[in-house]
Amino acid sequence: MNPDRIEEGLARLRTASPSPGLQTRILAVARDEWTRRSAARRAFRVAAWRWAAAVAAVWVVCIGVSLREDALTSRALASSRPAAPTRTDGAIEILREAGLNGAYARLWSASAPDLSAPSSWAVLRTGIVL
Amino acid sequence: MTADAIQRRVRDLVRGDDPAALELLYEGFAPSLLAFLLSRLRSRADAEDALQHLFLDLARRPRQLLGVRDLEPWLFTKARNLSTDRLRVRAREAARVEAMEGGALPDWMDLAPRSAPATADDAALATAVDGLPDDQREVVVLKAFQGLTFAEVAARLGVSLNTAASRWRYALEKLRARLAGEARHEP
Repeated sequence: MNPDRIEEGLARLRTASPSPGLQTRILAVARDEWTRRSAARRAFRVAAWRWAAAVAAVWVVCIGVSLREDALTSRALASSRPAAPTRTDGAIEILREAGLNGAYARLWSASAPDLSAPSSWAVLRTGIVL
Repeated sequence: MTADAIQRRVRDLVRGDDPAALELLYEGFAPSLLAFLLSRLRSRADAEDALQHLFLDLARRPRQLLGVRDLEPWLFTKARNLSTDRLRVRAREAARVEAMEGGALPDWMDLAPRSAPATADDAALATAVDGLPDDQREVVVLKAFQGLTFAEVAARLGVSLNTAASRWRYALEKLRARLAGEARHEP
């Protein structure tokens, strides 16, 4: 070939034309892959949502149980707490140490608020006599 | 449709998870990608496999297209990487060169439509093109076979206009030298 006519020679050449059905084959394979990937993505999203929903449900149940437990515990503590000692209880204790029985204690506790008033002494005196 | 218009449309389709993006990409870029792969791999079967591999990769990870600034050079870079991997793996270069003997065109080249049957000159030129360094052969294929301008060649290969033109000039010089050498050896 004449080296000066290379560009002319190149114009006679071209890259090989694609095999018959190349476009169909490539696009079919690629489309299948696209569809498979889309389906896998969707399935993953659904699974992730379900997992998140399950975790959230467990959390809700746990929080509910915890609150209920707190409420029950508080109620149980409140109901089991001993009542505040009354004036009579204190008086009974003191009089028991002094060797006296509960009747004096009840009398004392009933009259104690009035001990400062002379009119109540009669009541006390009567009580002691009893 | 221009490359920019194709890119915008492809992005919309990918956002909508629509596989029609693949058809659009194929129609827009596959012919020049295949020519480029043929010029790199110098084997029709390998080039077609590489093109299929490229589209399979796009189908597997279509969202990579959303982050691409300029689609065409990006696709050519992907094609270049794929062909480089393939060239690295295959070790049948010697056998392929042997198969070209006998005046036949290398299997990755054809005569242009309406050309007369291949002559010895065509075969000699095709063999000389086949023997060019990769970067020069790419330019020859895109410029002479695909009829692209230097600007288009440069955009596809991701090189400057001057580089594309220089590669073309070096390629012609090499072809001239080789064919002149062969002419001298002819009886």
